[in-house]
Amino acid sequence: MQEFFQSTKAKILLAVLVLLGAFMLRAIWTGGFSPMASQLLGAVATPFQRAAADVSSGVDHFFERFVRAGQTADENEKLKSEIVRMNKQLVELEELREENRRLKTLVGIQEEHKDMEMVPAALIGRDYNSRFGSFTIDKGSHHGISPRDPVISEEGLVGIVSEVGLTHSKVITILDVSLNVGAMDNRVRETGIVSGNMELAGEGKCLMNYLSRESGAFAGDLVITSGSDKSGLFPEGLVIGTITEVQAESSGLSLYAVVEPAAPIYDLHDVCVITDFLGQGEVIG
Amino acid sequence: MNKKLQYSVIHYGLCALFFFFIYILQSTPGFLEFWSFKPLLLAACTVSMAVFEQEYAGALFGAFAGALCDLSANTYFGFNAIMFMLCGLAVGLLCEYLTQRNLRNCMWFTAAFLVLVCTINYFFQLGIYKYPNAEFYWLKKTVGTTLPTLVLTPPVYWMFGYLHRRFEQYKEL
Repeated sequence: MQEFFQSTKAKILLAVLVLLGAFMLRAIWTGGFSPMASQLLGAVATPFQRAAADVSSGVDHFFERFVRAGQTADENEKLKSEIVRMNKQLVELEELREENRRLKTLVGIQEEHKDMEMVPAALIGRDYNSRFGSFTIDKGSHHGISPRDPVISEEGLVGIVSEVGLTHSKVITILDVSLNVGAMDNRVRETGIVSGNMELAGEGKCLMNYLSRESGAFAGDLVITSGSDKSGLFPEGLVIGTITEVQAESSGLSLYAVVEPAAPIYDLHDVCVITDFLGQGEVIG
Repeated sequence: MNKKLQYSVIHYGLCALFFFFIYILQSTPGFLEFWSFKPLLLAACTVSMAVFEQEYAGALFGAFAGALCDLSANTYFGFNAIMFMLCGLAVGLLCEYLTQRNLRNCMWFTAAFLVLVCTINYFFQLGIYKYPNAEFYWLKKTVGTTLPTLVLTPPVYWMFGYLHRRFEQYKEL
């Protein structure tokens, strides 16, 4: 064995080790931007990953039709009766929509998300180490994405970009214990902090902490971003999820709520990255 | 270029392609995913490579496999590359001087490496921050990664064994 450690091969391996160490230190130093080697490797791998993700998604959809045939028949029956009920509601809703439109015009409220710039992206990778549902998307700095940009799906907030390569980015989700989101109960307008929880992450849920005892938050309330997370990370008014349970903290000083995210974190295919919004990066307070 | 070098280039080129192919399979969303756990097939590849091709190739291909893992893992680029490289080196040296080259040993090495990787990942990502119930999460993650990887190790071992035998005879010409 001594021969090996004295050989040229061992010296080459040592040089590679030092080089990799340097890459890692640079990645830590730049905090969120991948080093050149990673960007090159990522640029080669991304098209193949995208193709594999497309094939996997297509196969999933194909077999889902057969697996869920019985369930679909039941759903069909339920939906038919629902249509009758909803047709009645539609008439009422049409009246309410007209009234809402008039009110919006009166107070001059802008259309939702008009102040945001978004880049659509597809999910191309989940790793063995994808803690709390984190994943890789097929857009990077080349498409205008920066570290800490918010990521949403059509249902609601998904997470933030944690690292950006040239043609790919890594995203951590709201189930992650390291991510804190300034949030608000939309009904009672009470603010709190939504963050991941080790036990609840497996069920795809997270926690809303620091709700005051008098908040009046209830199961079924909608939770949205408050835009007051003191870092300008998230725009105001993005849907986070629904409260499923409200409990008192062990200290008894405040309440916490279990929140079911609106976005299906473990079953995402397409997302949008918000690259610019009003108040982004503005530190409050 | 002489014949021996030519066959070496083809051999290691095929191995690199196989590593890349395995990475694409491993990171494809929904594929080989069991209750949100995914196998770390590149660990099995690195160990099998080191078992058959010894410490030098094992370490270099380990670094390549780790760099691929770093592309989609929640770690700084280079973290997995260093760990996989050291794993390839250690397994190669162990097989050269201490143990036999067989599937059973390959599976033991793979399991030990996976436990080590998951533990180090846990320590740097969650353990030092002392999140509540983090140990339970580590246990779930380690078992959930190790078991499916071990189930899929034999075909990977067989593939590297096949490539080794196929090219060894030409390299000896």
